Formats: sequence, structure tokens, C-alpha cells
Amino acid sequence: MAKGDFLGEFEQIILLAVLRLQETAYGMEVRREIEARTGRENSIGAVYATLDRLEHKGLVRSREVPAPDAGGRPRRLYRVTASGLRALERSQQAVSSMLEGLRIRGARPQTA
Amino acid sequence: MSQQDQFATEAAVQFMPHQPHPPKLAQLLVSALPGPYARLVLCDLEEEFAAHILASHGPRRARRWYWRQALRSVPALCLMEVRSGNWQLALLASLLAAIVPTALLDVLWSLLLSQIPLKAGLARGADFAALSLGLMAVLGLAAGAASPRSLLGIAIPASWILLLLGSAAARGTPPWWFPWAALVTLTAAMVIGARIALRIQRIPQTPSPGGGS
Repeated sequence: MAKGDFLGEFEQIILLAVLRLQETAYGMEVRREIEARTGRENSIGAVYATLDRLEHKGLVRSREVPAPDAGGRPRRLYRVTASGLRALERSQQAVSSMLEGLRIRGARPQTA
Repeated sequence: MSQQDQFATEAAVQFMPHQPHPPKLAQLLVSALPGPYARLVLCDLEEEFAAHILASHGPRRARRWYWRQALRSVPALCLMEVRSGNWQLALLASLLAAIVPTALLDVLWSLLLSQIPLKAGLARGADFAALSLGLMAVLGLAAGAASPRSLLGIAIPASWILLLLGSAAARGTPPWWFPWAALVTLTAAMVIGARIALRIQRIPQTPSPGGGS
């Protein structure tokens, strides 16, 4: 498998945040979701840069929608593609198989 | 209305008259960033600032949060633009604004030295640096006009770094004020150049006397 087929940690987190948010996944909500769940304060620029990279890889798709109310702002909504889901699954499997039989900070060893 | 003014207006729309506003300078910084995402970043920052951060952090910490987000978004958005392949134009503008004046002056100085039999005591001083700034202003105008406006966020810092490296290599230690004067000169010249180019593009084409299409 080529090096580019694997997802980086932040890419995985972004994809998972987009999956969790479903219809409301845009920059600000993705950033807030990550901060709420992981405690990491990422910059909004880094979130958009990663989403842009994932879109170039075909793992997410975006569309710009007009402002929902008068005086509001336009948003770019994202959703995970089938390739994105497969890439996430591959990454999850890779991590699971690497963790197999290991005990980290008192965690129970995983068995196959 | 310029694109930057339009962003600022869009961003200001959501704020009530007495509600604390995000720092203006940070807004300008984000709106000056290259690429199509600057607008989305600005809108998202305004929204989060007004809807969540002000209430949970208070005005002072909210402004600090805004600054932190704006400053940390700069490298990400600039790198994104570099990845998108537009960096060649920014690099060309930087070379024109920074390296060409340094190289031209170095050639001129070598020519002057070759005409003087006794060269002892000759040093490149403040007058040389001032001449360098003048030439940089002229070429910076041209570079700004030639470079798309959205790329100035990359072209200006790149020009400055190239200029400092080039001038240090060509003339040893430049005067202490030179780096800051160079930054101001480059920024002003390239922004004015870009504005001139924008004005020229906006001048409506007058129809030909024959009335042809």
C-alpha cells in the first residue's frame, strides 16, 4: 500500500468529526466538535487546510450553501465520501492490529 | 467596494451596536490572506466569536482567542495556497521585488569601484541602502501589479526574506534600520502596484467609433 493511502492523525480526527456532524459539518462546527471531544484547540485555518487536502484526495466532498438567514454568512458544508469511509476503516484496522497484545497505561491487552 | 472591504462588511453585519467586536487588525490580517478560504475562515471566526466565545470567555479573552486563531490560521492558509500551485507567480514577484534590485545595485557598485583608482575607505553605507530602497520601491510596484492580489500575502514576506538574505550576502551587515525600512517599502510598493493593476482592469472598455462588437 502506498504511503499516501494512509491517513494522518489529524485527517482521521477531521473525517470523524465530519461524520459525527452529518448535515451541519462546516469549518467552525468541525473545529468546535474536535475541541469538545479531544480538548485540542486547533486553528480554523488548519481545519480548512486539512479539509481541502482531504477533498483533493477524494475523501470528502463539499458544497457551498447560501446563508440560512438574511445577513448571515455563506457556508461550505462537507460530507465524507465512500472512499473516505474506506480510508477511515483501513486506518482503524491498522491501529487495532498494531495495538493487538499491547498494554498501554494499564489498559487491558486486546485479543484477536 | 474592494474584496477586503466586502469581507469586513459581511463580518460586521452580525454584531449588535454595543456588542464587543473582534479586533479590527486581526480581521484585516485574515481578509488579506491568499486563496478562497480566507473568506470562509473570516466568516467562521466572526460567527464563533459572536455566538460562543464572547459568552463563555468574556470580551477580553474572546479578543485574545480571536487573535490566536487568526495568527495560527496564517501559515495554514499560506501553505494551502503554495500547495495549490500558485506559488510560482508569488516567487517571481518576490524575485522581481527583492533580488533584482540587490543584484542591480551590486553590479552598479562594482562598476563605480572599478572607475576609482584608490578604493581604500570606500564602504557601502546608508546612501547605498537608501538607493536600494528606491529601486526596490519601483520594482515592487511592478511586482505588485504583475502578481495576483490574492498572492501578496505570500509574495511580500517571501520578498522580505529574500531581500534580507540577498543584501546580507551582497554587502555584509546592512544598517540596523534597513530591514524595517525594506519591509515597509516592499509592502507599500506591492500593495499600491496591486491596486493600480486592479483599477486598470476595472476601467470600462470604450466602444470603438465604428460600433463594432
